[in-house]
Amino acid sequence: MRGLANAPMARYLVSRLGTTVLIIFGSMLVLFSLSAIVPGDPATTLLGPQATPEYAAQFIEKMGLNLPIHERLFLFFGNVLTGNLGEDVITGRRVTDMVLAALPYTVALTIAAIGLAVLVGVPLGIYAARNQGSKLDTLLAFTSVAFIAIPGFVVAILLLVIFAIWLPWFPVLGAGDANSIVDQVYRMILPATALAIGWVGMIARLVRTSLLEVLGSDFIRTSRAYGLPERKIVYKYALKNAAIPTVAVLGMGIGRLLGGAVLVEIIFSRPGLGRLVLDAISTRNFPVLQGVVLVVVLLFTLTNLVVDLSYTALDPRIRRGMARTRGAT
Amino acid sequence: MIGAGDPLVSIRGLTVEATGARGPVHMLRGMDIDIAPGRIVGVVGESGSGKSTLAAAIIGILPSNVTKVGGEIRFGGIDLLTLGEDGKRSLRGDRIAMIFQDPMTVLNPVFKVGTQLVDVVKRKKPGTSRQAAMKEAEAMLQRVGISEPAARLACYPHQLSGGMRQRVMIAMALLTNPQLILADEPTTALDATVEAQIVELFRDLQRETSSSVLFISHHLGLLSEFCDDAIVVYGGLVMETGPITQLIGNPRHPYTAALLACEIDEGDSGEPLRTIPGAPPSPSAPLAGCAFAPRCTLVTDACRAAPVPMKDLGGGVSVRCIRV
Amino acid sequence: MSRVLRSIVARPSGAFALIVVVTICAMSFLAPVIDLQLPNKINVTQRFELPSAAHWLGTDHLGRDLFSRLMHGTTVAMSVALSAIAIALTLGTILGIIAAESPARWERPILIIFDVIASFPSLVLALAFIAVLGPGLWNVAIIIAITLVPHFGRVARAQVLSVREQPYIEAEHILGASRSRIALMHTLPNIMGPLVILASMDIPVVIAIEAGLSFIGLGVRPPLASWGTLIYDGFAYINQSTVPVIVSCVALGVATLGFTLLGEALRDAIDPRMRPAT
Repeated sequence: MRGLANAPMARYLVSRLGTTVLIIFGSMLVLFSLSAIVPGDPATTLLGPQATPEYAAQFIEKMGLNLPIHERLFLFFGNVLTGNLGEDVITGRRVTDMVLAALPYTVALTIAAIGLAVLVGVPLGIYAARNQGSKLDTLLAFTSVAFIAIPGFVVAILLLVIFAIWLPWFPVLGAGDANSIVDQVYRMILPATALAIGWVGMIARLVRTSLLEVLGSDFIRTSRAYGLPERKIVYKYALKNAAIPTVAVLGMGIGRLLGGAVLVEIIFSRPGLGRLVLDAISTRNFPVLQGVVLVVVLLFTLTNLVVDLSYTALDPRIRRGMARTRGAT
Repeated sequence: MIGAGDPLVSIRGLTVEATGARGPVHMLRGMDIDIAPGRIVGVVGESGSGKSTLAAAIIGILPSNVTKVGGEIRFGGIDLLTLGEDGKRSLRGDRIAMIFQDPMTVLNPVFKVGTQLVDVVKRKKPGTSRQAAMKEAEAMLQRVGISEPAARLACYPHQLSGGMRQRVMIAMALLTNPQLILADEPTTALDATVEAQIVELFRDLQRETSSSVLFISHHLGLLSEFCDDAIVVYGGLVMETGPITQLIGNPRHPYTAALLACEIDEGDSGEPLRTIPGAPPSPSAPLAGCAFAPRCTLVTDACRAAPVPMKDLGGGVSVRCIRV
Repeated sequence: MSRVLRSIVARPSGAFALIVVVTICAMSFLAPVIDLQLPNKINVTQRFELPSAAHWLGTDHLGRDLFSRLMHGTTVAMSVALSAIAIALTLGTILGIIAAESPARWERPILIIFDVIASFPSLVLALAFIAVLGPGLWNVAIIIAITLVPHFGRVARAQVLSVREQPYIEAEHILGASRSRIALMHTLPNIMGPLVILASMDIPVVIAIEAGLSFIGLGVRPPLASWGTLIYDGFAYINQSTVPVIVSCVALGVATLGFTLLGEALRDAIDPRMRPAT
């Protein structure tokens, strides 16, 4: 039986991994074309009009901008695949190092936000589903739309004004003392909350809808007909079913979350990819921008892969049908 | 407590009313039913006659649009209708178990068959270890005719065929060793060969267990293969009840006769399947006289005049018809 | 149409949404016409004024009237939103129909392009393009449109595939109608419903992306007043006064909420099956 279940699973895994690789290559191609479609003289566009002609010539040489386009393409792909994202045009630092230094801050913020959103959103959704029509349920129906609709960076600014300026409870700037975990967590509360709020609404709403649907299903009626305790029915049998659509939708939302993280980092003056990309844009530091975007895409694509796989782990039916339905849609 | 000759289940004047889009819906209009301990009682009737509602009312999981339930359902002396939610739940999966119609949807798709059976065993006998419960489940799967039971326990429902899933469902019911098993058309969703196998299984169970079974079907011929007694329902009312041999051999109610006539034709190649002309009474309309009057070939004015009472003919046979 | 309108205003959130959206649309049309307070009129003696009869929402760090700037911001937001969505809807529908109607060797590349674009978080992709092409209203609109194309394309393709199975389309095939004729005369009208709902639900998303880009200086450039640049200006002077930043944040929040609620009301009114997670 085990082998029977695994053959399609393996095929699905292979095709899913193949798609991921294809998407990553595709996005590399998009990023490369970006540097190629730059209007006008690439050196001037990338370096800005202030660059001296000598420096521009040197830059063109170093970046390989004088090479034919297909050679530049190979050079770019080769470099990226060996982990070389180029050099900062101003300081000459390796972009890979810069990105790797900034990445942990962004990842930590994103994970904190997701964790917070799940921790608050899931219980809210369960409560709303079990107490349909209650005050909290009605309140949630309206506030969740508001939370989802209002852009994260607006929430971030409002939180900052309320909880750091009007009520000076939280520090505004930076990620905090690198040696003090307490300080770091303290400084993460506002930005993580700002990022999480939209997700709290989304998760609560998703959990509520899917749980209600599951609780009305035939197999839950079976559990009830066999006198299983209501707690066990909700928390064990129904929740796992309800988690499937929830996880699927959340996977699609991670891109928005990463975009939001970039803005939130800028607002709270936190180090991270947001800061890096903003600096890169204002100093026209194209290799840095390229590197950050590439890493964000990589992060997003891989997270989606993980979400898809965990979704598969949650729902045994997909393990069998996935390869087929994927091919058809 | 109940005495030796008392029925296990005694239903009196059971009415179930729901709110529909156009006013109240009378799903059951006053049913009287007795189920003796250890008997297999078949319930037969067309769709919409109230068969499934009867089972749902006994186990207490009526659909959410049901607004009124009247009469009484005595189970081992307890009136289930006056019992609180906790009291009803304590009976389910312990003294009463249920087998549902569509085996494709009644098992939880994201849990292994073993897990679902183990939880039922643990519910029946708290404190049982997972291993012991698993052993018990394995033995029960064997008993309901599932080969390689240990491997099946590790399967998810979608990996099993419909017939096998229904066997799992039956195993689940038997694992609780209940006094009453409610089987709501357990073979309707299965194809004919599998249906025959499941019927065979019930025939074995009739010999082996001491549980009473309420077996719902729209197929009188099927019931005759393993039931002790049968109840014919129509329009939310009992039309005829008695030992199955009596009903088959000597149907007193025109409706029973009509159902039987449909049975006889079935399977004969060439001839079209016979059906009873007309449709069952609308559950949203009140009944003036006999529920079957509009479709009855022997109808008289008296049939339409007033509700017809149940008449005891002796030998366990009762009929709701003015002609007897 | 009136049935849809009735069902939208039947619930409080729908009525609220309609009021917000109508107001915003009116403001965006009226702003260039009736310019009560010039949005760029600088008056340094009246910096950070609180809301008053003269300045309904107060003034900013240069003494400019915030209400007037917000009004001009709606014009910018609506121009970007409507043009981006019009472009994305057109391109996405065409590509989606081509993907659905053409052989696999055409379909695959289109789907892969969709996947690649969708694998960029939209704000990040927009950021990368703008860093190269430079900021500006039209660049922002075009770039946001590109990020939205897969969204419409996938839905269009799925719709075509499901509509194609309908008996009347099959009948047309049998009667010998050409593929393009069928696509134009029958498929297109039948797939527009869900696409229009999708478009209405994407308006607040576009408004948010434009504001986000303008906020970090990559969207609409000064002196044009966009909600994003207003928030940027207010945020820069947050220590002097919190009024401008709060006012512009609340305006943006109310706008995105209004459009989202209207989109949901529209979806429920036209096609309840599109409700999420069912």
